[in-house]
Amino acid sequence: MVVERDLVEAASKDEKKVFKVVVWAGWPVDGFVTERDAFRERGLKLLDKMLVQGLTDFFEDIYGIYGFLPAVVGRINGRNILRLKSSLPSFVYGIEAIRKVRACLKDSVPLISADKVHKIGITGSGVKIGIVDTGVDAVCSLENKVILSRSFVPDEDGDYSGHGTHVAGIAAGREAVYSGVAPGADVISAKVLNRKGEGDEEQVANGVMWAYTNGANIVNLSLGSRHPSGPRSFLSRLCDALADKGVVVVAAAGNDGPEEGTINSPGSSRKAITVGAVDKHGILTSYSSRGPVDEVMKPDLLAPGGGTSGPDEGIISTRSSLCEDEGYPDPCHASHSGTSAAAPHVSGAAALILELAGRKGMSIKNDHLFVKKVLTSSAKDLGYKRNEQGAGLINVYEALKKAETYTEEDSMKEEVDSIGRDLASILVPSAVIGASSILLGALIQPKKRRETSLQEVYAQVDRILDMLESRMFQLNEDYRRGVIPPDQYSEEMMRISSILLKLNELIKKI
Amino acid sequence: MSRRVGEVDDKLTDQEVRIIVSKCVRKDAAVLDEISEREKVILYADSLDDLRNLLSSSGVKIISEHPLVKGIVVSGEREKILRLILNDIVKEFDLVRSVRGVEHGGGERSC
Repeated sequence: MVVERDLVEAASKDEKKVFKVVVWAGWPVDGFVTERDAFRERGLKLLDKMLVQGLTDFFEDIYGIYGFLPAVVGRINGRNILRLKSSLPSFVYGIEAIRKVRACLKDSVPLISADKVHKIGITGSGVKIGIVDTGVDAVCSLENKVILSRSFVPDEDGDYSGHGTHVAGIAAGREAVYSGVAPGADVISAKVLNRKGEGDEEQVANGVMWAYTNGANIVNLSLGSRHPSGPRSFLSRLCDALADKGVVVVAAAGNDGPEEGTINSPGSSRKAITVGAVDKHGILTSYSSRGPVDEVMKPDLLAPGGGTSGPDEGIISTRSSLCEDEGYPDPCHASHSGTSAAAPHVSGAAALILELAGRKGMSIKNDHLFVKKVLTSSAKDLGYKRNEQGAGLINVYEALKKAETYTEEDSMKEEVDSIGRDLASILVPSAVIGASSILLGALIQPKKRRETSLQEVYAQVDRILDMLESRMFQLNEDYRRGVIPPDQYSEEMMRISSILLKLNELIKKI
Repeated sequence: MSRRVGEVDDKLTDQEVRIIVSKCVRKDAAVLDEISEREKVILYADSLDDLRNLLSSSGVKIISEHPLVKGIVVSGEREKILRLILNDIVKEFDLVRSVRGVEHGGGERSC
């Protein structure tokens, strides 16, 4: 890349005119941006220094130095653009004008405070996001970002829809200005939807499993069933199972709002992080699907998905080169709205949190639970109903602060809460609350006090086991008499078995 | 479309129809209308090995296995699928449904 032709023409016409531009640098310090150590920090500082020293004279103002790209954004007059063109410093490989774009990542990334996180050097580096969608075209902001891709759609490869590329750009696109939420993260692309954006659950399940077995830390599902489908549906079960394995699973809530109970699979998964959408002003969109889902309160969170009053309200992200211009006058960008666009904001946020956890050497037992916990506990309550907003709008900066102080105590609390929720689904809630809170207290109190209350813990575990045994007896009786159908019997028995396994794991920690 | 129990298939007894509907994840009798050779069906079991053995001599086509959910996706003749569902090894089943990208406006666009 050199100086953009249009920019040179405009500068030639009026040398005094000031242009907002991005100057891209490129030299063999790229290695700095991928290493997670002190060497990287030093490298970035050095890079910043070189950029500033080499370019300060040309700029009227410098708005930002993006060492991780690397690039500098600022204002340059026409004369200096022509100077740069005639004697481009060796470390500069291109200059392009920053165009005015509409509601976009420029707005949505700050709306969730991800820009503040980028400024402290957290970009999702080392984290792999699985984009299970229409495919990802590795162009523009996604150049060199897609480390692995595979199509599960017969006789079709490449993103002819543009949906997956747009989604990937939001999660992990890397540009000077219109960066995604986690510009340092890598993308694993599983193409499971065809050029019309359609597929079936089996294709999606194959894509999800392939992404998982190839090391995806996060799986983004900006898709949904056309049919009413609850937490027992195929994809929802798969999401639950993956979350249990520690993979962060993020699913779009769907665009069937504002009626209640409009979230379908995989958003209906009990454990997935289900994401509804706000517009660029942080207002809940009418299209965002609402919960609840059976006994589960959904969605879990809100993130920017763009408005619907016109293309200006959409989220502008990366456009697949296989798509024709859809009305946006820029070969690299496209504007779309939907919870499809909201979900990757959360996937990107998850990548930032996981990078931080990796850097700090945090011992996380289950990444999914950890990420879900810090994102929901730090979200901004927008004042909507629980089945409309979940915990509220994600705030990535606050989530990272929560993550930094996340302790083993929080991890255990999450596990006990999880057991409590499972118990509450089959037993009297008040009995469960008492038992699980005492169990929690015993687990997380200081070691000295723990010894003194060991008997009490065992008493509570006994109590829970008694309740489960009694429930199993009752279930057997009901089933034998034909009071409950086989499926209900089987489902409750499976839940009891799952609780027993979890209790067993927890007791080992005492 | 709903239909009365027993009206579904002459070869199935009322009791068998009830069992099939009760094993359907969505508990919807309409599923009986939808099972056909064209549709993929996912069968769930407590043991994937047992399910695999059952399927090996069933005459249906195994499309993919999903160990994490203890399920196998199959397709085949309606009658064979229904008989499989009635087997005790199969605990639950569902039709494999279509999905789409959830872009506002339907997500149905092409370039």
